[in-house]
Amino acid sequence: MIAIGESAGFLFDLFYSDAALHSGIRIFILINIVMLIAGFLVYFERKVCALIQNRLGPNRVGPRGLLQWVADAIKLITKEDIFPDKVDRKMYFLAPIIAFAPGLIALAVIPFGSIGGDASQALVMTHVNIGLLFVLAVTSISVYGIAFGGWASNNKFSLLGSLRSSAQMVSYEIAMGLSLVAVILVCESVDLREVVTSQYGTMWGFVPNWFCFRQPLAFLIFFVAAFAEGNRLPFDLPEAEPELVGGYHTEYSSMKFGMFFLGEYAAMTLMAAFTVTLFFGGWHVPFVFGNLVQAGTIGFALVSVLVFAIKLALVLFFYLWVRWTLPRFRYDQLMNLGWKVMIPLALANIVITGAFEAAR
Amino acid sequence: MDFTTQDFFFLLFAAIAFGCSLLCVTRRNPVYSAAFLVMAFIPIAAIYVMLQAAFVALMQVMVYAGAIMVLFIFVIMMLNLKPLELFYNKPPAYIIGSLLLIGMIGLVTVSYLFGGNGIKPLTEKTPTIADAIQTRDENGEIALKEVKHEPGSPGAVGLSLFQKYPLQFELASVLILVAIVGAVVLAKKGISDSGEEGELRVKN
Repeated sequence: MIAIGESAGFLFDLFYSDAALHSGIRIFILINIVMLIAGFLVYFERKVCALIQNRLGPNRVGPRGLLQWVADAIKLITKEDIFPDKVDRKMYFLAPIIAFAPGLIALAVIPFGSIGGDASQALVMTHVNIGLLFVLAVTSISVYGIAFGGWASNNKFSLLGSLRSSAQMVSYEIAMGLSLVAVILVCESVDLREVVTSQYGTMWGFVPNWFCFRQPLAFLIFFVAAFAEGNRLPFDLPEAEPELVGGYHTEYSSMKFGMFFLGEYAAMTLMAAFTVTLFFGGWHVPFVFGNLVQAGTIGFALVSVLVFAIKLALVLFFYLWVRWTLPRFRYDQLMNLGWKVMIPLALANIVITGAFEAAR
Repeated sequence: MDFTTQDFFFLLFAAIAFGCSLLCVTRRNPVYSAAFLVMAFIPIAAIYVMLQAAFVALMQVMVYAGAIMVLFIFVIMMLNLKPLELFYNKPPAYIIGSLLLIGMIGLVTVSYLFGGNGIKPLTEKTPTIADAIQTRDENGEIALKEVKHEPGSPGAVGLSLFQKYPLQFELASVLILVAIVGAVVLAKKGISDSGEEGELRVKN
């Protein structure tokens, strides 16, 4: 346990107290940061898309188009909020909220930094000692938003989109969960803070001890499943434009559509943060970790948060990069990949990892 | 008896769970019924958390709300049932249902009142479950290391499954395996064996 210096004392108070004021501040910070990242991602996505397609992208609103997402948000909020005639009003209203909330809730258990480098000094909004399972459980709820949204819209395209999404997300959840079993076997904990600290150090002196190197197969399966969970291309079958108009959100307009839209980016942020925590060592930097700044100070906390943010940005960039370079899968290919390739591979990985761990 | 915050939250979650369960069996629209069932699972998970059984709570959400009910809703949406088609009187169903309910309430009451090791919620005072695992110490010698698991944590649940109730655990897994095989057999019915991958040939 590393002693916490004077300067970082208030940080420790803020993140380790149950007082209503401190909890309130944490919730406020979380919601605002997620909304900011989600909003900025919309801009970032269009810029990356433009870069890949050799265009300029948004460049009119604000310097270099940086305020484009603010304009988009104002447009969405001020648009007419339409309830189509034959929709199921209650479900139609509820669906975007269900789709949006899980990404926000689950991010509360992701550790994004540490004051002293110890698991017990991690900066995280809520201290849950089974955080890994919490994230899986909460993300499994988000499928209802899409399923109910498509059903309540009373539109064949929407219904097809929502049916696809429920089948897809349930299938890939299995592969994702099984791939994480191997990680849990190695680090012997489902506490996300301990998952990060178990990635400290290096293998053979030069490879960081991150799980993406120690569990490459699990990493691959998890990452592919994360794309499918977030309905991102190449697995965005629920909203495939050429065949389903807009999929589950065909009938949605105004901010209700905006909730689906932001929900997708919030879920993407969550999955990227989860990936960083599980496979890229969270706030940890190999080799120089602990030498940069004195552990237990505010500087250390800031550096660890910055490291996490940079890793998060890189993973998010990868998401966007994939979206604009790969074509969409066909639906049967998607299901075959999930059930006939990824799940058997994940199971084999568990057996191999288990054998290694038992022999160790 | 004092009315604590814990009591308040228990009553709150219990009331939500009760209300949602009631709505689940009274709605005419099957999609709403399923949705209310999902909504009933979540306060029940919250009650599990209050009983220090966080692992069970998350499994409840992940397995029942996140997987099983999604498939239920999937089927309901596929069938696209009209609300009225499902609503007709079935006296035997009411009778069997009431009997089951009375039996269950009776069982819980009896085991609560007379049961020796009946339903006792885990509390902060419940001792941690200790387990010795084999590790290698600095010199590479095999040594026993004691690990403590908090009550209700995944480690504690795993230990009691594999040390205290291995037979029950294996029986349950055989049951699930049988169910999987059964599902495959049912699903394969009507598909000719010569059907190549990618094309399903349906008989007649």
